[in-house]
Amino acid sequence: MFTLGGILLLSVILGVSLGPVSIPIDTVWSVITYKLGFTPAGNWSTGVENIVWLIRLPRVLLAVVVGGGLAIVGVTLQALVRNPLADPYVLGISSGASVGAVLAIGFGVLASYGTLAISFAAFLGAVLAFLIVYTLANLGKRITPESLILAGIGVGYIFTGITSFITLTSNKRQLAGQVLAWTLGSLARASWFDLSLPTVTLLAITIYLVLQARSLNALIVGDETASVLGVNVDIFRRRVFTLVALMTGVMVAVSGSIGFIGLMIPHMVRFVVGSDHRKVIPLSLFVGSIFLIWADVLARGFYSTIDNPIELPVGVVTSILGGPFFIWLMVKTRLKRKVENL
Amino acid sequence: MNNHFVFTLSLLVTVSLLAGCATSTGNESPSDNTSTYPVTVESCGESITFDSAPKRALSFDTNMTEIMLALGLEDKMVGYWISGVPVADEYQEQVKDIPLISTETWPPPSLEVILIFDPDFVFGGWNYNFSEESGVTPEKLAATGVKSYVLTETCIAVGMQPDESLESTYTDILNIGRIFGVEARAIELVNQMREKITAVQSKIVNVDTPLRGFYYGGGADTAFTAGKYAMATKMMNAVGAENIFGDVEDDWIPAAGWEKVIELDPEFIMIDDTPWESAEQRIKTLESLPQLASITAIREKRYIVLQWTYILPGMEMDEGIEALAKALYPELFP
Repeated sequence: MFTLGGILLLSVILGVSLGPVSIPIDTVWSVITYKLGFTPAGNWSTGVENIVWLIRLPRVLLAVVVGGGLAIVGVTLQALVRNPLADPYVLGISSGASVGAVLAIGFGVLASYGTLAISFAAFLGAVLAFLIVYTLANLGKRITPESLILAGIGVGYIFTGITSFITLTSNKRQLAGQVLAWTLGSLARASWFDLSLPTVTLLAITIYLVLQARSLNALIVGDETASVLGVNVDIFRRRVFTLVALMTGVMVAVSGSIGFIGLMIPHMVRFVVGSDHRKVIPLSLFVGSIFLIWADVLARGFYSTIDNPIELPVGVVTSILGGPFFIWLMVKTRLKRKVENL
Repeated sequence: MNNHFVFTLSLLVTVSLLAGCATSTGNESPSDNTSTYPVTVESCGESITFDSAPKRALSFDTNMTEIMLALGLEDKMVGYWISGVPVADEYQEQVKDIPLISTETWPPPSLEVILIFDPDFVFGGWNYNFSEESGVTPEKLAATGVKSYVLTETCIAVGMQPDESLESTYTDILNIGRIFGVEARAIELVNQMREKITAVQSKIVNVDTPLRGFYYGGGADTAFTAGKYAMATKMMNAVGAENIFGDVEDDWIPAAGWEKVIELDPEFIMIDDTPWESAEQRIKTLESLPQLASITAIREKRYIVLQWTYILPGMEMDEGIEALAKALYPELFP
């Protein structure tokens, strides 16, 4: 874990230093130490200062928070619904967030919040979707894995349909492109202000989940086993579901629906350390963060080599990059097991 | 670089050869008054032959409609569609008896709605009214016997090599003129536009260092902006300014990151006032982003707001260039 912590720190440092505009690494760090009040101002331009302090640093830190957060949501949900294919989006929460975002982008809903309108509307959409899913899943007076997944998928379809309907019938010419970019996920919105809520949410919920890791371990085996081990399955599932839904809403609100991380990072970590949540939760946090930092470095600078300023939605990079890596890890693990079984 | 040069050269040769047998570029002389049918024109690389002038034409969006009206073709039109901006005042009298295909400004009319008008000709453009997703394409129309002419600038959407000059717009005006047998009028219009633009350019010959411009078409996370082949860039080049992204091999750049914009530090920002987002709103967005505060154009509030039709290929292109020149060099245009 210390190794991963080191890699994370190194990734943050490199992530801030790399970008479409080449700024010498010592300038980058002089700007940061100056902004933190440790060193005097140098002779860099305001533009360079703004690129480092207002674009890159908040963006890399947001990658840490969102990458870690989505990975942890993934781990927790996969245990909660005992389904290895669960991810932060299976519960329909991101679809609700999309409707909010589309209303903000397309119709200027909450426009008085300025550039925060999209995040705020997305969060409200996520909360609405959560309330509907929760109510539906709770109809049988007990929340089971099946009821959660089915309610989530159903609600997800409805909200996805609404998003498409608004996008396609809107009289806003560029809306389709903007909505596509949003739903693919991007960290370009990062600002210092945007960082605060996700960071607090991530820290608080991660600490709670690490403390409850044994209960999650029990839950994977089965509801009855968990009960025997002293877990009040019903209350625990409600509580954890509410917390991960909240965290998904907060993350999606600032970054759109970035794919792959929530689904795959937990599996990668389990391939390596097994399925004990006391290890899987903190390790997923680190791996998710590191992975998203590097995916975003590529998203920001992918085309800059051929002098094109275009930015890719980071979700595109996470999928293209993460898919093959995941398959490689899966094949390697399978082959290793085969050798061990011989 | 070399390949590019050879390609450009061979393109030039091809174009001049073609020009020899079809319309000539440069200052056309209004010698032949009427086209002799059949007339064949190229639309996005496809040859379209007309045995006679269309009688039931539809035009899509303001700039195409204005080309039709400037050529005096209102009698041949059975409908038109605009995505929000009405045709200029000088065409209002001509357009008032032509029905709107749809009062909906976006999305564009569907295939069925178009066919109800029983058209024999459609003048439109990719990502104006034509799109693969909506199923309204020149092929689909051709299958029902309706011929189409596609605005040349938009042919990049179907993989055509675009041009970096204003010539493609002149070609469009001349081609529509030939299709409808009013070539003399088309030549006259093109010559007038050329003269007007030349007159503007003759006043700005003494500009030493080109001003660095940035076209901003909305967006907060990233910017919608213009590359080499976009009209916004062509206009800046025409008045001796340069687009900071003028070397990017693209027409429109949908999501440019801010880092490069901050580094290249534009001295003016060109903003179009569109039906779907006002220039005022766009300036508000720019000024709300703290990371952009160092940009010269934003510090000096040097925003050049142009009406949307000014940055489209069409009859208002020359006025757009004049407006841009006046805004950039007020001292040269007292």
